[in-house]
Amino acid sequence: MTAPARGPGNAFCFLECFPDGQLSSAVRTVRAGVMSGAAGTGGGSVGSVVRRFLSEYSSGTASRLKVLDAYLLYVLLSGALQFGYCLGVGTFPFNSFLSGFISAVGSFILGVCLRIQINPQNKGDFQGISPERAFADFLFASTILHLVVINFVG
Amino acid sequence: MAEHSAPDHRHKPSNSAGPLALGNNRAGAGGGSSAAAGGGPPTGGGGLSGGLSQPAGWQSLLSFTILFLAWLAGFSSRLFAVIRFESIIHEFDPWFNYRSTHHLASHGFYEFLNWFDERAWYPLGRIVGGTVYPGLMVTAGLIHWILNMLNITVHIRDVCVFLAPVFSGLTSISTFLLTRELWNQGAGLLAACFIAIVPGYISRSVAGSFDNEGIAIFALQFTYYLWVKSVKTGSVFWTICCCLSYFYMVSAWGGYVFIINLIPLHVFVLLLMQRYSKRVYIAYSTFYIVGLILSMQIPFVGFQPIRTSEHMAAAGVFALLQAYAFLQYLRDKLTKQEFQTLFFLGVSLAAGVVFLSVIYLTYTGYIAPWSGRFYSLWDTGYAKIHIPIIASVSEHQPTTWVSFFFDLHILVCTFPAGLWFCIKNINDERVFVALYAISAVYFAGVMVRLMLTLTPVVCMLSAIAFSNVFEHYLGDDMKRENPPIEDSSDEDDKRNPGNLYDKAGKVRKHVSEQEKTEEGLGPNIKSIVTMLMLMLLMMFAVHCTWVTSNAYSSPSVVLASYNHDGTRNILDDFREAYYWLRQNTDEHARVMSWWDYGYQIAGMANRTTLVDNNTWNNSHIALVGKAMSSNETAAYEIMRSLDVDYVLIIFGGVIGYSGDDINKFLWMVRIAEGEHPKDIRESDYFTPQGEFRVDKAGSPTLLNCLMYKMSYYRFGEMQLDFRTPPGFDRTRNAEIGNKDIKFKHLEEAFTSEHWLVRIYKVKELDNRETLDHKPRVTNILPKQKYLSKKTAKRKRGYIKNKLILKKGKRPNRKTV
Repeated sequence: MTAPARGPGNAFCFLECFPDGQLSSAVRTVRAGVMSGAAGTGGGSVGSVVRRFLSEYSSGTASRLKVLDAYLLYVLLSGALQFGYCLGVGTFPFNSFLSGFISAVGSFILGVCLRIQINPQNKGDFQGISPERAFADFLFASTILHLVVINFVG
Repeated sequence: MAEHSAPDHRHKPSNSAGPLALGNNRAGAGGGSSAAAGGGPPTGGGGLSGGLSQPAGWQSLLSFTILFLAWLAGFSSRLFAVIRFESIIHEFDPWFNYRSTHHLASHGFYEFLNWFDERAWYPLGRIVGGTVYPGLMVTAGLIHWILNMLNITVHIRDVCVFLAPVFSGLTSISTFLLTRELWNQGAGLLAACFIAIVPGYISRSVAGSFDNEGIAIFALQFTYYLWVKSVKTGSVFWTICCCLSYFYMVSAWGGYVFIINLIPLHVFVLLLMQRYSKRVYIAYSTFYIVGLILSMQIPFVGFQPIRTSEHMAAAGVFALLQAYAFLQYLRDKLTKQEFQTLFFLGVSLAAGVVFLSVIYLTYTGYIAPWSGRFYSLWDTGYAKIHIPIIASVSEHQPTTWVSFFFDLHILVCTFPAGLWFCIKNINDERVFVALYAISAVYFAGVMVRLMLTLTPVVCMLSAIAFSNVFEHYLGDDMKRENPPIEDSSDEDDKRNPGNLYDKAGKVRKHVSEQEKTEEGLGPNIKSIVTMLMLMLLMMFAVHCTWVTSNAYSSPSVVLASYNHDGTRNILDDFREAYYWLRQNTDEHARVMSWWDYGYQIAGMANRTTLVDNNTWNNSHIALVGKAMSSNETAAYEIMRSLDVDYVLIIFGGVIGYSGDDINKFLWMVRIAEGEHPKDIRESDYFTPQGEFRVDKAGSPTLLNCLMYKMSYYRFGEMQLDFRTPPGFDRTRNAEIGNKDIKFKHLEEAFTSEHWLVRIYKVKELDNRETLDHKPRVTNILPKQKYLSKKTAKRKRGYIKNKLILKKGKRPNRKTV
């Protein structure tokens, strides 16, 4: 079990090479935020559903996936931040905004793909894809994506 | 018994390759012999049940051989034009592509991207780097560079000429791969052979036709293959490969819009069919987001993928898929009851937000509405009314039934059968091919040019149909299913073991056992059906070769005519005239012509043009059209304002060439009318009966317009044939109506041998302006003492006070 477990860890090491370098520390804080926020919500039928969902989530999800979820949340927030900035301030260097935003969305999507592929529940769907292969694919796709983003950011 | 019969029937897998290769002369010899060579080895095995150690090896050898032969056949059947004429760039657009490739090869990539071409669209110029799909030029330039690195000195022109035939081989390989993913290997081989020689694809990829479509069909098929592959496996790696291939497609051809709409459509239909899976999610989400940013790297495409409506379907499906996947995830986590409370909230919110934002963005102008070309895809009458420049291009006309048959022959009849097989045994990727077929049929019906996108899918589906038929009629009723077949097939084939078609398609296997099958249908019926099918394929090969040779292998820069005894006349008027321009005019001379010839003038004559085939500025074209269709004085004003030095027109009346400017003239009038409705009216150019005639009955406006006068200048003096009057136009079979044509502001500069190209020089303004009124008459008579009589008719001397004799009157005797 050691080898697969190394997977996401490597992902963060790898991602540190990218412009947003404070990633791994940010991930930890964000994850802490998620955990504390879980208890805070409530009220109404929707609220109860959400509460149950969060408890289900915290108990039924592998810790590897939780780390990945934290990363996803971080990327999501950075994307939302960029979008909010664009709404508030304007889109002037449009290609820069686009490349930043698409980088966030793309990283999110690739992270989700990785999460789906390494999730043991989805084993049946992905016969030929081991977690290591999934991670290698993730690295490959991120490299391509960010090469293009760097080219586009102007 | 199988031993001796095998060699003959071994040709069966190459039954496509065999006849196809035989269909054309050059590949015939090589094709036949190597097919025998490829078919030979399995005979030694005595059938797959024999002691052959590695049947999979033979199988891959055989498919490799067939693919290679398909490549060879496809390549060599595209060489008719080179053999008959020479290694020359064809038609119109290829000349521009060639010119810019030449620029790329001689100045480097960055120079090419920044190239501002001041020789096109004269006063305006054109930013070439930002307004082309650079894939074609970069590909050719890269090949040229590599070859030169290897010290194989090839001229860039030859690279350009042979690029499309080489890529046709790659197309057939990617078609093979795609069909193998969809059905099985046998069908894949058939499809590869079909696409290698099908006229619908050859029409755009003969040697010398250096156009975007030549490489774009390869990119299209390869992208679809990788897409199907990534949907099947759900692997990010394949999806990224698909994105890269899509990037290549975007860089090569504007038809990439077809991909970016078809793939979302596939995903959407899969969602509707409850066939959603996580593989689809991975494939589409990754494809969309990476493909989006990749496609924006092409300068010409720019921000279009997020700005125009053509791309919005993809974005919508992306958003939908995210929402759907999220809901799926929640549903896995929650109970049904809980899910429903969230579901309505989520779905209604998401749908509302997406819908409103799209409307808002379109309204505020962030998303451009559909462009005219796309409207004309939905409403076939749209272009004719609103955008004559699109309607004027012959390849934008709706397709006739004849051309379906002409371009696809038997495949057009068999591909519905293949479609039916696919729908009957539906799975994720067959949904894709069904959608591909249906949409491509629609688009091919709308525009002749889009026949090109229909061709690959027709080849694939026909191959499936043929492969199925052969499977039943040559097969051994599936008794001899051997494990070796699975060895060679991909891991993905194993995913659907329940599907017979994925396993049993090896035509090769059944062929050898044809005569053994007694049960089932009986040998007679089987052999009759097989013979019929083979006959069809044979006729297909013959038809393809015939069409290629007769219809699609003319460079249209060089014309050929045949005499009664079969000898050939080469009419090289175009190059003669362009060469004249290149040699005899000032380097910066501006040449006005109709836009069709802009690229050729720039490419061959290297002179500045006003308008060319990149029809980006309609008003400029309309101005040229107005100059051509007004009378000489009005035209002269326009030409002076545009700094025109020469006017070039194409006139086919002498040799009966129908694609000349008089036949295109009505489009010039229509386009000019669109921009200048006060000065030009189409109805003026018709007779009161509504006919377009060039003879005496034609409308006076027509008979005095610049185009008419330039075309028929001094034509009235020319008698082509003793049976016809002088000035008889062979193209329109009429004696021209205005034989006495004089020019005031133009003069004839050059007329080519067969009068095909005529060039006129626009005169400078006169040194002394002629008065437009008579000089003022004064009462002061000049005192004339001596009147020179030298100018008088009779230059005799005269004697003062000479007797004047008047006829019929007696002379006065006195004076005598």
